Amino acid sequence: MNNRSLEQELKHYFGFDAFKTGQKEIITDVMNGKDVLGILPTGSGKSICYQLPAVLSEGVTVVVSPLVSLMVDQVKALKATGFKRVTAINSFLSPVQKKQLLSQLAHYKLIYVSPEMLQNNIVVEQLQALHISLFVVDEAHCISQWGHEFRTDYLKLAKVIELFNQPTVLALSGTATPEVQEDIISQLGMIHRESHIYPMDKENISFAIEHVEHPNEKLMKIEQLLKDQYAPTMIYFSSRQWAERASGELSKQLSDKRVAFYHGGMEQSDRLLIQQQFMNDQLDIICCTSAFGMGINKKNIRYVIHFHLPTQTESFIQEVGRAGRDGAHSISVVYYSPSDDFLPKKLIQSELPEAGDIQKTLNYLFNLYQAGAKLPADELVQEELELTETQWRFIKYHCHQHHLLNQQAIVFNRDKWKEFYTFLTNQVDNRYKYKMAKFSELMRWVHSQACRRKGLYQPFQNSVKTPDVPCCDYCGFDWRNFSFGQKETVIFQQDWHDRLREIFLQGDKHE
Amino acid sequence: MDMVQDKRGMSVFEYILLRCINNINGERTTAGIYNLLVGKRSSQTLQDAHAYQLTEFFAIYKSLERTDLMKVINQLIEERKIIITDEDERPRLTAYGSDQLERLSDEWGPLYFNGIKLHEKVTVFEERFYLYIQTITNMKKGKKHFIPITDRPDILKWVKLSYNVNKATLMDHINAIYKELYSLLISVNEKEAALFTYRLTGAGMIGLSKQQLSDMFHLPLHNVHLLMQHLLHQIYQAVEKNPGNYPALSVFIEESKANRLITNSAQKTYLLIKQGMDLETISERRRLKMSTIHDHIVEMALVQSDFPVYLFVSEQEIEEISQVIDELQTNKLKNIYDALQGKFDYFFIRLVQARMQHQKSEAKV
Repeated sequence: MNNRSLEQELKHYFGFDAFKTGQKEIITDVMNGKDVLGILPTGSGKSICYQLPAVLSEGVTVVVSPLVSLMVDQVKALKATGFKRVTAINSFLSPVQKKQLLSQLAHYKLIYVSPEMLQNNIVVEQLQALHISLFVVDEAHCISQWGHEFRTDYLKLAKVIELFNQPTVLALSGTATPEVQEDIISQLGMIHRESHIYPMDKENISFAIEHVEHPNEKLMKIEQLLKDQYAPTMIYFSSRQWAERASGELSKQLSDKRVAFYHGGMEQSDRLLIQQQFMNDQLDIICCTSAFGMGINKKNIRYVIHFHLPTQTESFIQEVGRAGRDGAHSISVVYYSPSDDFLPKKLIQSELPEAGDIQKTLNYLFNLYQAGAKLPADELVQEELELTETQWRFIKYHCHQHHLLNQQAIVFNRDKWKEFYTFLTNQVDNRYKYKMAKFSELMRWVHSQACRRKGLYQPFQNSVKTPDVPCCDYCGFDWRNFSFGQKETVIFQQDWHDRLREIFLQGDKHE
Repeated sequence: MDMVQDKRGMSVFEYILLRCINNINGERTTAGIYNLLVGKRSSQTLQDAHAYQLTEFFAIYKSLERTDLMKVINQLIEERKIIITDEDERPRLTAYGSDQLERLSDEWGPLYFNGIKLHEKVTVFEERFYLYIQTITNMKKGKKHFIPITDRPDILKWVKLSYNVNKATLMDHINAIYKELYSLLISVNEKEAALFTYRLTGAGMIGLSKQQLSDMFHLPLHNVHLLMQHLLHQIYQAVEKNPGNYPALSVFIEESKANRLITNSAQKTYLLIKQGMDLETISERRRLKMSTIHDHIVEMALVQSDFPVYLFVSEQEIEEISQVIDELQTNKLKNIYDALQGKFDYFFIRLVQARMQHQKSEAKV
C-alpha cells in the first residue's frame, strides 16, 4: 500500500485532476467495504466509481452491464488509457474465444460480464474461483419492473452475489425513481448500505419544445436553427430510414456542415469510422437512432435534438445527458408533431407478446414435450414463433418462474398451463398499460404549459437546481434567436495525392 | 477526372451483373448470383462458380443485401437490358443487354478480381493494413491513446506484434510503406486510388464510411464497395507476385507455408473439394478409398490453419467434440471416440483435433 490520496490515484491512473460530484463519496465507502447504492446523472462519470477501486483493491471487480456495445467500448477506452487488465465476457465471443478467456480470468482485475452470461454455470464457476472483492451492478434500474429497461436476467443477480461469497456490492444507475431505488435495494438484499443519491438535473442544459404540424416541417426548423452557428449536434430518430433521409436532406441544405447518419443496420467498420469521426470533430451533425452514443464520451455536444421522442422520460433524460459534458452551455430541443404518437405505441407493442403469441408458444412447447425434446436455442425459438427478442425473453422468463421450464426441459401439467395462460395474458395487459402510462407521462410533459426543467425531473426528485444558463422556452429563453457563434470549418476536397502524403506524415520532413 | 473513368465508376456493378447473367445464360435464378457474390458456403455455389467461369466474383460483396440486389436487377429489367420470365425466375440478357455488356467490356478491359482464391486473404490484408497505418502514424505523432478502427482480436494481435518489430525505425518504415503504396496507386484507376486513400485512417484523420465516399465521389454505394475491392485485389496480387519489389507491403499478406507442405495427392483432393465435388464422387473419380480421402482432408486441416473444416462438421459438433477432448486431456482417438459413445466417427474427431491444434498454437503467440 502507498500513501497517495485518492485524488493522486485518480490523477495517476486516469489523468483527471479532481473528482466529480459524488465520485469520491461512493469510492470511499466502497473501498471501506460498504455496500452502496449510487444514483448519479448520466455523463457524470459513473464508471470511475468502480474503475478506480478495481485498480486499487486486492481482489477482482466484476461489473454486470446489460449493453454489450457499451461494455466493448468501455474495455477499449480503458485499454487506451493504459489499463490492460480488463476484459468482457459476452455473447460476442465465439465458443473458442470464450473458452480461452475463461481459462485466463485470473489475469484480469476488472471483468465486465453480461447478465445472460451469469446464467451460465461454467462462467459462474470460473468466476467463483477468483477472489471477487467488488460486485458492481451497472444500470441497476434494469432489476425493477418499474424501471425503464426491465431485464429478467437481473432478478437472478442476488443469487449470484451469494455464490461469490458476499463481495461488496455497488449498484449504480443514472435514472431511478424513488420507487425503483427501493426495488434495487430489496432485490439485491442491500440491507446495510450507504445511499448516495444525486439530483439528475444539470445546470448547463437549456430546454425547448416546439410543436409542428408535420414531420417534414421539423427538418426545415432544424436547418433554420443550425445554419448560422457552429455547434456539434446529435439528432435522435426512432427509425433508420428517417435518420438516413434527414442526413441526406440536411447535408444538402447545410452545405457548410458535415453531416452523417449512424444506426444499427450499418456495417461494423463503417460504424466505427463514423463514431470516431464525430469524436474527432470531423463531423458536426450526426443523425442517429438510440443505437448511437452508449459508449460515446464526446464532451462538446451543444445540441441534442429529438426529431422523435423515446418511449419514456428516463430514456429521454439519458439521451439529453450526452449534451454538455464539458460543463459548457448546451441545449435540448424537442420537435413534436401529432403523428409522432404512433411510433412509440408501435414500439411498445413490438416489445410485448399478444395473446395469440402466447397460445402459439404453449402449443409449440407442448409439441416439444410430447416429442420428448428439449427447448432449442433462443434464436431458433424466436424464428419458429416469429417473436422479437424481447417478446420471447418475456415469455421465457415467466415460464421459468412458473416451472413450465426447468432449465431446457419442459414440465407439463394441464391445469397449471391453463392457469399460466390466463396469468400471462393479464401480465401482458398490465405491462402494456404500464408502458403506455410511462409514455403518457412524457407526452404530458411535451404538452404541459409550465417550466420544462421542473416538469421533466419532477418524477425523480423534489426540486431542481437553479441553472447557470437560460432555463427553458417556457421560462423565457429565446432559443430560436440564440447562437453559439460561428467557427470556420473548412470543407475542401483534397487531391488524393495530398491526402495520402498527409496521412503518411510526408510533409513533416520539410518543416 | 476524365469521362472514361467516371463511366467506369458508374458502371462496375452493372458490368459484373451482366457478366454473371451472360455466363449463367438463364440456367440459374437471381438467388444463384446473390449466393455467388456474397460467397455462400455451399457446394452448389462453388460448383456454379466454376461451371459458369465466375470464380473471380466469388465473395467479392459479402455485405450485399438480397433486397438491394433485387433493386438493381429490377432497374436492369426496366432499362430492358435483361428479362426475367415469370415461370422460371431466371434472368437472361436481351440483345440490348448483350451490346451493353460488350461496350462495358471494351471500356473496362481486364478485371482483377480473384474472389475464390483471395476473398479471405484480401480481407485480412485490408484490415491489417488499415489498423497498422492508424497505429504507426498515431504512435509517430506521440498519440498513444487512440481507439482502433477494427474489433478483430487476431488483427489487433498481429498489428501489435508488427509494430513492436518496427518501432525503433518507425519513420523509415512509414516512408517505405508510403513509397510502395504510392507507386501502386499511381498505376491504377484514379478513382479507385482516391477511394482507397480517403478510406485510410491516420493520426487525427479518421477514414470515411462507404456512404460518405459515395456522397463525396458521386458514386452509387455498390460501386464504392466494388471499386475498393477491385483495387485491393489488384494490390494484393501485385505484391504477392513480386514481394521483392514491395518488401514493406508484403508483410500484410497472411503467412501461409501451408500449401508447400501438403502432398500432391492431397492437393488434388482439395482442388476437387473446392470445386464443390462431394467426397463420394472424389473417391470414385480418383479411384481411392474413402479412408484415403479422409486422410487427405485431415492432412490439410493440420497444415492449413484456415482450412474450412465446417464444410464437414457443424459448429455445434465441433463444440461437442472439442469439449470432450478438453475434458479428457488426451489425443487418443479411441478414448475420445468411446467417450462420445460412438456418436461421431474417427474422421470427425480427427478434424476437430486438427482445428484445435491451430487454436492452441495461436494462443501461444
